[in-house]
Amino acid sequence: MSRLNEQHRFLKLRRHGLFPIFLIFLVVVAVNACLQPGFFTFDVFQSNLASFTPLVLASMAQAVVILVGGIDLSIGMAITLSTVIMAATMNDSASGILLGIGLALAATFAVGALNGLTVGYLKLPSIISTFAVSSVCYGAALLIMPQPGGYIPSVFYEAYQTNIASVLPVPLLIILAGLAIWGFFRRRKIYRYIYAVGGNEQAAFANGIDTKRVKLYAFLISGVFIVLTALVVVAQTATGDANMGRSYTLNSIAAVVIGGISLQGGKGNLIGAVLGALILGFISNIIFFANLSSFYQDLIKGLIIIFALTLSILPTLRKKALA
Amino acid sequence: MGGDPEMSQLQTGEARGAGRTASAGQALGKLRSLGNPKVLIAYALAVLIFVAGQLISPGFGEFSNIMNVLNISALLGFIALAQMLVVLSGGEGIDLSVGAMASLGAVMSSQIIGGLDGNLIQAVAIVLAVGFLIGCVSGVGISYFKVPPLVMTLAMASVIQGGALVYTNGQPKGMASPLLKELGVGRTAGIPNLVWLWILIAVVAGIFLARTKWGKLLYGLGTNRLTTELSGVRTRVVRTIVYGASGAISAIGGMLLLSYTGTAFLDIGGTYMLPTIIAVVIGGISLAGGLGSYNGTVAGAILLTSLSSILVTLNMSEGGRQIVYGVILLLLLIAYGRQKTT
Amino acid sequence: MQLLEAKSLRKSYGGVAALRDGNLICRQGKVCGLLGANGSGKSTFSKMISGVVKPDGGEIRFEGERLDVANPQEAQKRGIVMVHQHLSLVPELTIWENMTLASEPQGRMGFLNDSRAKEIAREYLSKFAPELSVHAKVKDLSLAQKQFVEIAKALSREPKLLILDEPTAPLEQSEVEKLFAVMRELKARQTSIIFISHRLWEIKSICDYVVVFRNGETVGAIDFETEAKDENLIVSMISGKEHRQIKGGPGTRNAGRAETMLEVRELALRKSRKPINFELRKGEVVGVGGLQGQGQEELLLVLSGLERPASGRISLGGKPLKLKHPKHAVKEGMVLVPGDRHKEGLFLQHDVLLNLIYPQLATGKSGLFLNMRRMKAEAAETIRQVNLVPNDPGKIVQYLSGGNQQKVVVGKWLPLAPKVLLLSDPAKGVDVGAKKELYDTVRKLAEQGTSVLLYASDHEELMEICDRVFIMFEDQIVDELLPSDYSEQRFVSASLRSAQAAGH
Repeated sequence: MSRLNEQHRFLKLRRHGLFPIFLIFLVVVAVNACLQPGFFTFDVFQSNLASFTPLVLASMAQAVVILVGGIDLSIGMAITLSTVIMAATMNDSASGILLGIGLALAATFAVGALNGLTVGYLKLPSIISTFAVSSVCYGAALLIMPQPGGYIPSVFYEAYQTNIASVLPVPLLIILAGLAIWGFFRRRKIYRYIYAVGGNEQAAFANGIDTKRVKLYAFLISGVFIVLTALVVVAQTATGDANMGRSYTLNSIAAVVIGGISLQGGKGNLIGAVLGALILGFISNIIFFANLSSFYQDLIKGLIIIFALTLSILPTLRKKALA
Repeated sequence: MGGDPEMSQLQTGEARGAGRTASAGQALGKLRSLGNPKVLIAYALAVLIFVAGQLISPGFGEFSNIMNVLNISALLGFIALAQMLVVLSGGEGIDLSVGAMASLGAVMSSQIIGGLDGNLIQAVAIVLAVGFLIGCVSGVGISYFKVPPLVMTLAMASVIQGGALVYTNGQPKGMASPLLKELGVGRTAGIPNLVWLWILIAVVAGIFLARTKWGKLLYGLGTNRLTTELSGVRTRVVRTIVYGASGAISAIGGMLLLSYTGTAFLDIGGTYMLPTIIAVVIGGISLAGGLGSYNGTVAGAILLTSLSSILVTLNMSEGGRQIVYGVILLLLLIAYGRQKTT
Repeated sequence: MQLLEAKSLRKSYGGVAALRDGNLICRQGKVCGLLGANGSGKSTFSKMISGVVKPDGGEIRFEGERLDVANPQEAQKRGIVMVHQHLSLVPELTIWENMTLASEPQGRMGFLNDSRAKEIAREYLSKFAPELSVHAKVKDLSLAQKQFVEIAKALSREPKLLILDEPTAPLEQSEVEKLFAVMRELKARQTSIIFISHRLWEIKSICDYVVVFRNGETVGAIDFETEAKDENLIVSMISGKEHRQIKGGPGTRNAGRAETMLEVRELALRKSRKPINFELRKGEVVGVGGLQGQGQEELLLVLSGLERPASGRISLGGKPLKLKHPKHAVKEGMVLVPGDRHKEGLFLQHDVLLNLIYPQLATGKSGLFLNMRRMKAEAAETIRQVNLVPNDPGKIVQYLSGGNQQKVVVGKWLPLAPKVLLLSDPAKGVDVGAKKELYDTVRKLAEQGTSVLLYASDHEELMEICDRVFIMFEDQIVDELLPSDYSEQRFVSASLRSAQAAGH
């Protein structure tokens, strides 16, 4: 009897949307484990995590926007702007740190509001308008810090390297904090509305949902994750550099797609974005440790995206045959 | 049940309200025959930029500089032709792989040509074929597997970029041949060769779209796929070919980039991708498909390039330039790119 | 007790009146049936009560007070809920998420109370589909199940007045019974229901009284509690009491002599549907009628090659025809004028010229470079033939009147001299004058030898022009009417009664 239940539960798991991505994840981890010496030691685990975390958080930011049916090409530069503001204003005093974080928060929300207004209220196509905003962010970052520099209190760097109670690395803590924030929103209307607007904007509208406001809120929530990403980045690099954020934009989109989140909107889970980002991280590890030229990275990344896409399309294809 | 207000409004031609709407449509139609107003405004803005540039930084508006700007515009304009075809084909058509394809085209031609004129024809043939085949892969995914164009071309862009990396092993080899370089930077009768080529392409594109069977079919496809299908057109095949053509054109666009720079570097085409979309939008082409002409895209390309150019001339820091570029882009989009509420 | 009273409601779109004089009294705890043919004004009427549309004139009183709502949500707050055909469901969300969308139960500090939401969903859904888990995603549901979810969702708002717009369309008999059981429960709890349906036997089964619409106004009401449930009376109210005489035309063509053009054998439109068999003779105009949505449009779409049938064979002019793509049908001369001209028949943003010459481009009757002079001449000829107003080939089709747009849709096929013309409700929303011209064109084509298969939702059109009419019900042909049978009464009762005969 119980075995039947177990089988039943396994079959249910198999149909869960994240299952194929989880499989890819396991495969990638396994390969990485073979190649990277000491993979299962705590030190390596911690350093891997530390390097993956920025992309994980950036992918969560991207995921929120994609869920509501848009796309955000300004994420990389928004992160950059945030880090640059922090590097430019912080000093070792507590007030200095708070000022830096406060200004970064303000700037990020301003960017999010700009995106939300242009996409939601002015109805510009998000792919182009966020690109324009990206230019503005980059420009602002360059104005604030034309050359890499600035000052980040060492407190950040040290905190990022520590492990709480010797077992919980701070990067992991931050990822969990990010998920907790999303969990907070999960219990609120905006979460449901984001999925509704992304899934079927007309139906959402027919139900009386203010679709414009939902899109604005989505960009603002995304901003929270952007600030988190910025904090982690400055903790790692301890400088402000206006050119650091480029790769985050496309990589976060790749992570989101690999993570099973549909670019149409309304479908997928933030956990998928986390997995997708981790998969990308492990792949870059694999390429490094396998002594492959890093040139294969892009190719493999693209192939994995297509593979993940195929997986998500397959169930719909099968359904069509039955109909 | 007669629930269509617009339609019923026009049934009685005598009704004044109907008359007004119909004649407004006619007026717009007449204006259209002069050239799409959006396009004219884009050209006007470009002229404005040159005038302003001349005032701010004398020499900017001079013939030689205008030709410089046009030379670079031609590069963008050519790749934007690929984007335009895809957007025209409708179905939320967009090609995010044009930049990557151009890069691939550039490094491939660079290697095949290896500085020798004799290899030119070979290079063109190979680059065209590779571009077309890869584009068709995107097309198949989009037409037959119903992958949204945004997703499919984005993924292909990654694959293409990776492919280019692997192909060159990180170091693009070879270089443009003298003849090719002459095309890229040389001038004939004072006008850059690339601009001559661009004019030729624009004329061909115009004829293709307006005067050939295929052009009309493309417009129909972009406007209403179902009607096209019911007219007996195999729309899936046609769409696949359109994406293939986009790939081919972008790839050759890469060769043109090579002609201008002399040597290829990886991701040489990357910065062109998003501007092609903007050029297409500014050129009055609806992102929904079915409407527009290459004329508009040409205007868009020139406007964007002259905008970037004047920003470089101004004594602004890079940061200021980026901000101004972004803000103007947003303003242009608000004027040109608003989506109709579905 | 009067719950709702609607007096003299009017609504016009542009110059055309959709509703001229709508009246209804809804009593508390009673089920009021709303009947009427397509275009009678009943849908506009119900949309006004539910807040989707604002009336141009007249008054609605609800619970004694004026009802003046700007949108459906406000109407809901007053207690009026309308059930659509699953238009308000988000496919990727679960049943319980959809049912409580925009009305989520909340806990402390604005957090959602998901367990309460699931409870509510379970409670109301179980009345219809206890076997369905509220965690199922709406996209995985069948049409009937989606309909149940919509109805359950409406019920969960605890309406005082529930409006059901053809709720039984996707339902089977046993499911209809479930719905009726719930409706009886609601009645017991003093909820009023407005029930819109075409199926007479359903109306007779569940309604306490009926109100009939025709031509934009309320023409009568029958109280089932005090009067007899007279079907004939109802039918005559829906159709109008005049018996229309045929004006000649059909029947005067001796179609019996002509050769067979189209042969349809064992055509099953969907799996588990009984197959269709019929023939179309050269020069014949055959109509397809019956209630809306009984497969008439599907039949035409299948014949055109756009949709695939579950099984069947077709031969055109003696040759078997592949049914895989419109290309095959068009090449052999069978063309479709689709039902929704905006979505399927026109390139709205382009001019008349492009629209008219398109089929020739598609079927390869022109070279690579267009001979614009020849095309313009042909287009001008077509414009003359269909009498397009204004006769300007440069006019953007979007700005033509509905009737003229339809002329373009039909006209574009004329140069190709089609063998079979499939028409899917071509005169819907077209004014009287254009309609006449349209059918004159069709008649001319038939006289020249084109076979015509015509689906029209308006029986008068069928009677005026068709040599014979098939009545369809649930994807099958259930009756064939000859000109000697033609009368409005006969049509309506054939459509309705055959529905009844299908086991009720």
